[in-house]
Amino acid sequence: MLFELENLCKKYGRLTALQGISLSMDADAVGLLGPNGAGKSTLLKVLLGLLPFSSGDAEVLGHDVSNNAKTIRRNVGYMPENDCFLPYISAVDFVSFNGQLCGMPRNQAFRRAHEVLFFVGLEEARYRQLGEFSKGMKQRAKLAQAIVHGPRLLFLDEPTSGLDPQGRDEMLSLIEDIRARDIRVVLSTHLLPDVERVCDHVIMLNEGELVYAGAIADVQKEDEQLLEVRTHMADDELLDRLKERDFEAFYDDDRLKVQLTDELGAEEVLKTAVEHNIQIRHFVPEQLTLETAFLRLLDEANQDLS
Amino acid sequence: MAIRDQSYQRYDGPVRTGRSWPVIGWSEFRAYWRFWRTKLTIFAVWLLPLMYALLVLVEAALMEPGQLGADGPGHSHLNLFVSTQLFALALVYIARGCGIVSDDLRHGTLQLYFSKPIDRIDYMAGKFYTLVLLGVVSVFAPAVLLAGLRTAFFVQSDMLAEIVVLHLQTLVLLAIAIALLAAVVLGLSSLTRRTGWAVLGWIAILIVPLIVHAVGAVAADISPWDRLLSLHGLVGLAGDALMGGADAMPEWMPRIVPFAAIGALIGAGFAALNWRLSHLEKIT
Repeated sequence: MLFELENLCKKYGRLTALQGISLSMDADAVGLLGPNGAGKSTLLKVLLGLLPFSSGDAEVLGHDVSNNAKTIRRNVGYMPENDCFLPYISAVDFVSFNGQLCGMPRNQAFRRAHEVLFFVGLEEARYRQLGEFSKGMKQRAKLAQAIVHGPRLLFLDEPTSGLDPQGRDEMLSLIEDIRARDIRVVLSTHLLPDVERVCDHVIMLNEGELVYAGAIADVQKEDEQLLEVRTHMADDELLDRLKERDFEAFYDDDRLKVQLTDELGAEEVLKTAVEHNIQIRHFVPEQLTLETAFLRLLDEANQDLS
Repeated sequence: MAIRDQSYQRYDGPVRTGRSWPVIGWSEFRAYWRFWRTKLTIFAVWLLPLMYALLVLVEAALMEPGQLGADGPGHSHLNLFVSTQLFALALVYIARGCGIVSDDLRHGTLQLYFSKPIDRIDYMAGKFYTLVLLGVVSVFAPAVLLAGLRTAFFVQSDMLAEIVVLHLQTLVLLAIAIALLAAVVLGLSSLTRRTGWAVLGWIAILIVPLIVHAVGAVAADISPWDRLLSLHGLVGLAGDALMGGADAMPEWMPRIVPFAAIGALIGAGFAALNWRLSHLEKIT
């Protein structure tokens, strides 16, 4: 089992960062999603034992976080969001040092540091000081230190943050490659396309509360009965007519979307258009992106809160 | 060569389960050692012991065999030597050392340290060990060299045993001084993210008591208690207690007092760092 959380709470003074999160998940790659301040980084730090939690229970890879934090950390690689190194250290020393902290003997750590720096494409720069690195190179160096000791699980906190499109694509390729080598991945990000590309499961947080935990396919399946419709200069009119007939219709990125139900199907949409003499130009069922699904779940969560 | 062209293998080699503080201490020391500033400062602080060594050689060359040790071994010049070494070490810590924790705070490395299987005690002891290593290389090693040299010149005298004991006491005193200074720097550095502030604080701790002492000495017959208020005064008192016996101490002061004060300062340094680490969630 990857995670087993039971009513996990984390409070900073009066602020509750995690509000009773309970979930059980066993997956190879999990995306941790949520808007800024949702509690993603806090959850990662709590699961690593970096921060003590206020109440509840948590298990990672079958180990209790309260009592076996060291065992968990030995089996986990962590790539923090922010820079986390002394700028005057060379990349190979940085990675080797982190390997030694995980218990590797010095000579083994040094050898592995070279290997993983080759692995992430920093072979030419491995003797350069980290302070001279570009953002993309720093991210790779942080990834290298996270995998040097051969972890079973990798926590990645915003690994593509601040990268240009090419750098982002390369970083995601690295993560996909790592995942293919039997290392489980937890990817914390607010970039949903990254999660869609790398992960098969997702945990969604909002204001410290769990919004959704499960397979990405399941959250997208909920939206399979969605139609994208375009008309000949009468989108607004069709929207009004559909709403009159109790359809859930809305604009998403200037495109008219219609939510279908068992009673109100695609035929009813066409009938409505014909009745009002509206010419349909585009009529395709759509599987929503994770982003749309996430936003909808977030809206529902916010409505519940209010 | 990118990841796609590489063959990544999981690490299945041996894993150490012991303490990590030697790793932290030694790695940081190696990082410091790479700086020319560190090497130059250590070279500079070695000059004085080298001059002492030269004087020892001159002393031995000029003395007649019968004269060797005629005045008997005294501890005052050794106490003075420790005092100069103490200032030399303070200089080394100004050049490299005051950033021992503040650099970690500024660059956010603590969250990475503690994402590894290490304890708080590993981090604290490791950082202390780095400063101690700096102290050993800059002031303790030359002191050992000098002690050996000086002892060698007394091999054929009747005072050999006395000289050996005296020099061992000096080395113990120097070790205490290194521990004291290292702990104070550790504590100071953990109070700020800015190394510059730590350096200023360190200079203030060294200089302000000297100024107070000078002003007090000019203005009035200041109480000898003021030696307890400065690091060099404390080490001097400890030297008196250790090497000179009860006679060298102010008669109203128990011999344990300087050692207790040094112990308290070392404890305060570690307590400051521990306090900082207790508030880790504010820095990670």
